[in-house]
Order: sequence, then C-alpha cells, then structure tokens
Amino acid sequence: MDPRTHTLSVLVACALTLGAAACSSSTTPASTSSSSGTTGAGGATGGGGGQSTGSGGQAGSGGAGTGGAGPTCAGPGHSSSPAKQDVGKVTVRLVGLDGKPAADVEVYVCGIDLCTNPKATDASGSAILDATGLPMKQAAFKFGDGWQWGKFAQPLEPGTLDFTFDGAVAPRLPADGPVLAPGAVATSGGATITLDAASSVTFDELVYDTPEKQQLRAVRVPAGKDPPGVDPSLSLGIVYAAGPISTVLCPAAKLSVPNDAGWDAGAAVELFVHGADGATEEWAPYAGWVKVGEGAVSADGKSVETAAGSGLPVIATFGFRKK
Amino acid sequence: MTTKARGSDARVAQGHAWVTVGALLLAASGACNAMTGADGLSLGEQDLRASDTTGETAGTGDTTGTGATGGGGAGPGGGGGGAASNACPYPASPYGKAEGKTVSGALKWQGYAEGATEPSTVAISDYYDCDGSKGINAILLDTSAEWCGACIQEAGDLQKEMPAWKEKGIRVITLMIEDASRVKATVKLADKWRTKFKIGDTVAVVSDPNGTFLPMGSVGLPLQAIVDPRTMTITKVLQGYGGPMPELLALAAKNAKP
Repeated sequence: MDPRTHTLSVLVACALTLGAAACSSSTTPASTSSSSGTTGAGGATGGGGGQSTGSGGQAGSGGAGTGGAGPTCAGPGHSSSPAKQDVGKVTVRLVGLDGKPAADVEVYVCGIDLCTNPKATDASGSAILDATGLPMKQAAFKFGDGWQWGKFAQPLEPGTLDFTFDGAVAPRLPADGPVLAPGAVATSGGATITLDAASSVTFDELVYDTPEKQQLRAVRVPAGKDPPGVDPSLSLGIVYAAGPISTVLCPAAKLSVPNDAGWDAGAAVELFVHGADGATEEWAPYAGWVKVGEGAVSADGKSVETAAGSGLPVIATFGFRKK
Repeated sequence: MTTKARGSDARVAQGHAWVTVGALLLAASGACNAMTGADGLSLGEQDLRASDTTGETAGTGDTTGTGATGGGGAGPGGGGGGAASNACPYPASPYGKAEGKTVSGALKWQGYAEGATEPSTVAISDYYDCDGSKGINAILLDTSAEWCGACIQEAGDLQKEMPAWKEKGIRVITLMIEDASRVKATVKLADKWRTKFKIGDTVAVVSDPNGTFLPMGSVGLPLQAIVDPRTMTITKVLQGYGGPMPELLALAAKNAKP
C-alpha cells in the first residue's frame, strides 16, 4: 500500500473513532533478533607511544572473556594525543599477491577519532577516497577486513594532503581455515598457532560474528611485496597477514612459521604485531607495530618459533625479525 | 548508500493537501494523538539529501509511518518509564539536518528504545520536551557504523557515561547505518550493537539504513547531531569522536536551570 494512502486511512479511522483515547497506525516491527554474547576486548588504554613502534605485552588478567570460561587477558593499551591533521584525496590501486587487481577490497581513511565512509575497490582494484574537510587524528589509509583480506593501516604523513598508493599489495586470505579453540593446533598458510587446553579464545564478535569468520586465516607476504602499513624501519624478515584480527589468545599462544627468511638455526628473533584497529589501540598503536614476544629459529633451521612463555597474544598481521 | 534526488515542489504541494485533510479530520474527532508538522504526512521514499528547506525525511526500509512508540513501555521521558506528554505542538517546518535547523518530528526508526526488550518504532517526537516536564535537557543523535573504529570507541564510552548523563537529562539515540561489511543496517544490527556495548538500558539504538543525517559526499563517522529538546533545533553537528562533548553537556546544563 502506498504509504500516503495508508496515512489517509489512519486519519479516517481516527476521525471515526469518537472518544478514542489514541490512534495508531499499524506498524510492523522488524523481525526480532537474538542478542549476541559479548566478547572480550576489555582492558583500559594506558600511556604509551602513539604511531611509533614501541614495546608491550600482555597485562595479565582483566577484561571480559567469552562466557566467563578460561583466563582473560587485556592488552597493555596504547594512547596518544596527536593534533588533528587535514587529509585530501587518497588514490589507491590495489593488487593481490599474484599481481592481479584486488577488487572489492574495503578501503578507508581513518583516524583514531573519525572514519570516512568506506569504499570498495573496483574491478581494476582502484578507488579514490576523499577526506577533504574531515580533519582527524592519526590519519591512516586502512584496507582489508581481516577475514577475506589482510587488514593494514598505513599512516598518512601530517602536512601532506593527497596520497597515492599505486600497485599496493593487498594480501588475500585463504577461503577458510581451522577452528581456533582451546587445545587446538591450528595451521593456515604455513603459520601454526598452538593453543593450550586451558586457554581461552575471544573473538571480536562485533565483526567476526559467524563460525566461518572465526576460522584462522593466514598468508605469508613474500619478501619485496610488503603492503602499505608494514614499517620498513623494522626490517621484518617474515610477515604474515592473518585473521580474524583482534582475536585474543589467553595466554599468548605458541606461534610457529617456516623459516622462509633463511635465518641461522638458533638465531634469536622478535615477534611484532600490527595495529590496524583504531577503535581501542589495546594491543598495538593504531597504524603502528609493537613487539609482543620473542623466540628463535629451531635447531634444524626449518622453523621460527616463539619461546615458552612468550607467544602471540592476539591475532593480527604479524612479523618476525632477527633480534 | 544511494539516494535519488527528487523535485521538492510537487511533494510540498501534496503535503499541504494532506495537511488540510488531516486538520479537518482532527477537528472532527478530537481524539487522535498530535500529528507531526505541516509536512509530516508525506511518507514513503524521499530524498534524504535534499535541501534543508524540503519536507521531512522518512526513508524506506526500517523507517516507518506514524505510530506510537511501543515495546515494553520504555522510552526517553522521565525516569525511563514512558514518554510523559506535554501540551506543546511540535515545532513547525521547515526542517533540516544542518546546524540551526529543526529536526523533523516525523522521523522514526525501527529499533530499541531505552530499556526496551523488544524492537519497536522509536520516534524523535517522543524526545520533544518543550517545557522540561519530561526531564530531557539535551539530545544526542549519534550516527554510527559497525566498521567505524571511532564509533566503537564512543559506544564503549557511552556505556560508562550514560548513567551520569541520564541524571543530567541527556538522551542518546544511536542510529546504525551499516554493519562491518557495509551492508545496510537492520534491527538485528541495532540489537547486536546495544548488546555488545551494554547500552540497551540507557541508549536507544535503532536501524537507520538510509542514513537520515548523512550529508552528501564524504562524511566522517561518528556523526553527532546535538539537539535542543525545547525547540528540536540542531545546535551542533560534529563529525568524529574525541571524547567528552562539552557542547552537549553545556546544553543540558542550560536547560536544567529552573
């Protein structure tokens, strides 16, 4: 029924209902929904570096977990008070690891206080983002969703308005992966996460709200194909895009990857994670990197592994470098 | 999010015709709830990004026509137990969504009123408090999306702030426009958002798939419109979230004065 006809019907009904206390049109509420459980992403932000690389680790118990089962962990928090910066247009053309256009990838310009409405790259992998008139703090070019495409955030230098990312690499994540659960040994793209039986796994159910989205997905970024957001000053020799990002592993899980960098057996390494989530900066500074663990190349030289008591505390884009 | 531009003149003329009919019927019955403003009877899909001098925006999808707010007796007025009525007619048009404009009283969304256990129609007109009798001193219309990090940050802060804000007479409606995958919002998303951030008791969270307050072109989310409940005038529009909003607190303090 034309809404205007409907309205007229209502008015007629009201007029004819003498002495009625109230009139109302029939509205059909949308389908009811079941509430989703809250998941842990707790922990308060504390002092720390902003966009720069820093050091940090798990702050011990705290925050909310999933259904109260298992331990809970909170990130150390990273916060800063940068000035607002102006950003103009960000022109992007993304390609996959295979060099082909990366189409339908979500791209944004986001700061820690504001996000422009996102776009999706077209068939050629291209998009133009316009943040003119939207000053923001810690502006970054952000792309990927953390379960179909690796999620990265590249800081945009204050004082420059327009940016171009032509031929930037957007790593595609595997179509599916293993379940992440306490006691599981989950491998994707060569990265293996070993979860203690007494551990907890807490997903960001706001974004990754289905079992499919909660599967582990990881892909190695070959040398020379670092996407925007990988800090070259860190000299990360092994980089992985992974998801679902912001999944908290408590306690930190053992992480093992093939030694594709060819490092010597026994060489000490450091593990870093990338902060592509500007919402809380709980585990890493937004558009930055932070060291979260240490490890070594295995005795046979085939793999790089985190050390006992030191592991991956949160699923994120991660990287190793020689210590 | 796509909208079509439509001519405004024919629609305004139609609106006036409907108003005339409506006024006659009201005079005859004398028993209906107060209707919306002069252009409030034009429903259906409309230009949501037209000039500020056009009629109200109603949108399609989860925005619906006239009706009372229902759903478990929750609402914005008084102590949260349902809207108290006052004798003031809703401010007249023209309406708009920019600073200095009056919010259209026809605006309604599907979602959850404060404290509601079931979804219902949430009407902006329920927040109109011309004389302060409802205890509403400031309104924050917060347009958010699931993909927006700053929106997530704000929602987390609302969880902490709202108890104190409600004491000050501040009422918040969060208007969800899209989910994390940029799919248009639904009532289910509104429920998910309010559950995730535990704000269901203190904040109305609704589905706004058409982005009622979004301007043309690029926009920075969250988009905040601060509205004076005495006049339903938009006193401030803010893009982004940087913590406490002094303008909102100042408005609440001003209206709280006897």
